[in-house]
Amino acid sequence: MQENFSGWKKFPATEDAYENIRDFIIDAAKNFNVQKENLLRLELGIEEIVINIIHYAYKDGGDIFVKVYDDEPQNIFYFELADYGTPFNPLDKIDPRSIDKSEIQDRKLGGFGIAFVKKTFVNLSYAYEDFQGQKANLLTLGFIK
Amino acid sequence: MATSIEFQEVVQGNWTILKAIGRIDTTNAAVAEKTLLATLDKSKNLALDMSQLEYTSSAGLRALLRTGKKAKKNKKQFVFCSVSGMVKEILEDSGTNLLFQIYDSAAELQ
Repeated sequence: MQENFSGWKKFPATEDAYENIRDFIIDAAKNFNVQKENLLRLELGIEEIVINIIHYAYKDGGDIFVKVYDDEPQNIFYFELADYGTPFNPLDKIDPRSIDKSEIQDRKLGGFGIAFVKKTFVNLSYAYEDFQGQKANLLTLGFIK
Repeated sequence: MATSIEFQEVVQGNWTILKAIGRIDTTNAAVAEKTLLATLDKSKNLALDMSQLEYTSSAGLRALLRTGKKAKKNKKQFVFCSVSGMVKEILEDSGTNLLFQIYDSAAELQ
């Protein structure tokens, strides 16, 4: 059955729902002709940003909204993520590689995810604005097909 | 598409070689870490063969770092073999490649 990729799709912001969110975006990417050899890198970016939202957006549960589309002339596949959680721009996080040069026993374990997100996507933007009548975190992520 | 990871274990001299087959992501990184730490505990030294590891995210990297920290604390070696493709990119992008010894293949281990 052909998946419908138009409009916003709603998922629970839970780890159990992560694979459904990932598969929805990856299926859309294939539908919009993202090259097969680029799909693992795209998956990495999806996992890091979606898991970040799942872990940090809501204290008491909520939803993630996903929209997919492409810019054919620019050869870019886009997805947008919206949530009604705490206002938070994950793109403001500092890349740990710029500050952490320590040996393994002192090396911090966090922060790589957002560094991967920044490296994976060519167009990244964040806004905290109205979404379906309520203020929401809105992330737009563009990936070269 | 469920994510799966399997490990095949071989003992070679002072080394236990764990071949990772599949993918490590947020859904199974805890399982992978448990296997790595348990194998390290019973081994003199541990090598992770990544020739059939197709994908890892930061969740997998954290499992590798925790295993590396424990190895250092216990004065054991934890090294990587046969790193390639997307996994190699991720190790390099994160600087994790600089923290571990990396061998072209398990045959080079002594």
